[in-house]
Amino acid sequence: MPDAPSAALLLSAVLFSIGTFGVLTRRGAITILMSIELMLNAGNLALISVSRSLPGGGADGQVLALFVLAIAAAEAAVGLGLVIALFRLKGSIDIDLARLLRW
Amino acid sequence: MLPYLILIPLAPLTGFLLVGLLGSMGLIDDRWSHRIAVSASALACILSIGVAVDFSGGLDDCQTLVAASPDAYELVLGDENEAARFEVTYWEWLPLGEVSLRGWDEHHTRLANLNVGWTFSVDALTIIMLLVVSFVGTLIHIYSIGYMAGEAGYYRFFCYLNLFMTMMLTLVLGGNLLVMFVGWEGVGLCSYLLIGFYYDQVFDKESGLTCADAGRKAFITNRIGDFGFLLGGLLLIVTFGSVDFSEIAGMINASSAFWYGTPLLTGIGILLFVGATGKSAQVPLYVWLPDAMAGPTPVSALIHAATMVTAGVYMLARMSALFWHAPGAMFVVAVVGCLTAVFAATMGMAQYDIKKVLAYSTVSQLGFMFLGAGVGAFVAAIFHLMTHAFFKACLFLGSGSVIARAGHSNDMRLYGGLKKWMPITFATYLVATLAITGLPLLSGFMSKDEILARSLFSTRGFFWLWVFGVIGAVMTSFYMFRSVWMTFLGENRSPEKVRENLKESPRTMTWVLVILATGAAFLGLLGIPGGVSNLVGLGDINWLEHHLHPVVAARGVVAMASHGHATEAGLAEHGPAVSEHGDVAAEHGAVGSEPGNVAAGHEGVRAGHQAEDVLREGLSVHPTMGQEWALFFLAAGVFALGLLLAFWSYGNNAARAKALEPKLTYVRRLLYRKWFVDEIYDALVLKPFWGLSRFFAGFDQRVVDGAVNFSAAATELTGQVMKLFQTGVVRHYAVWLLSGAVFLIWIMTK
Repeated sequence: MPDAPSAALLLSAVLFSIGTFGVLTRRGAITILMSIELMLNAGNLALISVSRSLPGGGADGQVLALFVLAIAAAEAAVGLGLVIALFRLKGSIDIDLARLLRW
Repeated sequence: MLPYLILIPLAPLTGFLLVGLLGSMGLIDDRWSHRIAVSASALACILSIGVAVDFSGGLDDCQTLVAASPDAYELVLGDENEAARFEVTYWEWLPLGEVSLRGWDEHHTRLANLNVGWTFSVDALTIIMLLVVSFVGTLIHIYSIGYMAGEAGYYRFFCYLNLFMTMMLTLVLGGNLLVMFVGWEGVGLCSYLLIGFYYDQVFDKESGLTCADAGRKAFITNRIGDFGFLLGGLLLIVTFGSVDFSEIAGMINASSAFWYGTPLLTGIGILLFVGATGKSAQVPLYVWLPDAMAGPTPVSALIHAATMVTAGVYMLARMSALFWHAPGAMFVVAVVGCLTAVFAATMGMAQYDIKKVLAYSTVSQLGFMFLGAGVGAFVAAIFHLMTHAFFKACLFLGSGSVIARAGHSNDMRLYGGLKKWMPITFATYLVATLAITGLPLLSGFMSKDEILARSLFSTRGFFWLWVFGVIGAVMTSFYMFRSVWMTFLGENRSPEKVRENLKESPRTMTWVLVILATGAAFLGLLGIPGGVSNLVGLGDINWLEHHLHPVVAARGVVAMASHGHATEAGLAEHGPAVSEHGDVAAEHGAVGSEPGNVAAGHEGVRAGHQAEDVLREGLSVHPTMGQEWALFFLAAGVFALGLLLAFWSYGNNAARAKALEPKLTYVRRLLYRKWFVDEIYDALVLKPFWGLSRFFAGFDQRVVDGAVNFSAAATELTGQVMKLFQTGVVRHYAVWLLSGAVFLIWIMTK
């Protein structure tokens, strides 16, 4: 049985991998956004668990995690806006349709 | 008039600006163009005469002027050591301040104050040149009114002529090498502009040379000479730390300053002479002058006969102090001059274009001048320059008068018998011909035979120089009388249409011819050689010699170490008297045959002007009375021989002349084609040069441009490959991002 930080880090890695898999494989924009949230939260988990074992009680990691939450909120707002724009343009939220920016 | 010296070049400069600006804007018509230009030139002439009168009246009047602002003026009243001179510095032109000069070794490195001013200097030599240039120049301005009447670009012609006068007068007045160089390059520019005056016309039908090409040829050939001139000037600056003629002459003449040695002076002398070979059309750079005949005839007369091409001779006389101390350089000058005199004369004998005959004649006569300068007869060289300015200008203008009437053809085969229609032109042309060929007592006889006599009797002369000079003189006589016979005598060979319109030229042209012919006949009286005047018991009445001698006299040569050179051989020809001195000199340990050392042989080394008297004796071994008579009859014989040869070939028998002319034997063909020198230059210089140019052009296009193009191509190729990654599919980017992150983590954790 691994100790607490190791177990949390392992969980974080698993969550991150799932999120990455989702980002790389899914075509629906909403699902991709959700997968990104999963990756961000895996990061949060790693931050908090590692900071617990640091001297001083780990306030640093928690503060950083709060920042990540704030950024995640902003990212979700912008991402959903993009999704709506994509839907208005193409009538679908399949991101494979958005491939105009190429050579 | 001396205080108004600067107006001499300023007057034609004003004329140039007025005629050029107003003419190009169309604000003045042809009449006002020539009125302005001629009066500007005439003003310069009047001012020059005023300056000459002032100068010969003694410089005492200038004392107050000089005292008022001693910085600007410099006055030398003239004594044994220095010729009388008046100098004005108008402004500090290049105040370089203190510069350090490198000597032969570190002990001789010294500081000099090199402040070059815009300086005009007047001495006896300047006076002569001023008068010749402004007087002949003004006459040719007047002649051009008639000759150029109705030509397109009339105002352009006169504005260039005025600019030329400005530059030539600047060249002559310049008190230091740099001011002279401004004039030197300026006249070159005007020469280029005026040769290419008919820039849209073909000049030489055989080679397809256009007038513009001829101008370029002149300009580029002069660049080669000017490169040598510049090097010589720079060497002069780093040696003496000065560009001022009088300062340099003073330093050279002061024997104590002799650390720089003769080889350096010889080098400077030869480099300056290279400049002169370009400007004065000597071997090997003479090739531009015959093609310069593409310009209008008054230009040929003024620039390419009377004034600009003599600038080299003037420069040598100006630097005579240096040349006296560089016998090797003088020897080169004499040999090149002699070679040119003969070589150009051979080509002149076989030309059909009347202007080319005169052009080769000019080259040949310039050769005589350099021969004179090279044997130390600077006065005789300047004398020949003067007389040549008159008779050659007269010949050119006479040919122009013919050309203008004979349907603008230069071909003497289409002339003949023009005496009937153009009596004044014929008479003046004949007088000038008699002068150049050396009819005894006309000007050419005085000056040319003075040069020849000096080349035999000067200690820097050389027997073979004299022999070739005499051969050149015979040829001169031949080709000049040939041109007279082909043009004015015999039967007319012009086309019917031209013959109907033959008549004498307008009065503005004929008057000028008459004045020049008068000068050509009588100008010789200014410098009757001592030999000639002695023969008739008049004693020494050579005014020019007395006037010019102080400027070009050899000074301080006595202090020089002698370097063996060819004048030793020359000395050996001069009989036992001199070689006896030489032996004495050798006994005293001063080896060699320098005149100075002759003096040394007598009394031991003496310094300063004391030695100069001895030197004068040494530099011209006086011929005996018998030798004088021999020379006189020889000169007359030379004249007569050429006359008879020409008469036999072209004169008394029209049928024989006709049979001779088209028969181009190998020699005639060789001479007619100018020894194939143009072709040889083409093969030896131009072709390799073009080959080299093409090689470098190829190098530039392939290697240099290739490197640039390669880097561009490589960038593009990289872009072409890299753009394939930009698919526009977000997921692909995410994969690359992830692989990058994994790669980085792998690196960091390894």
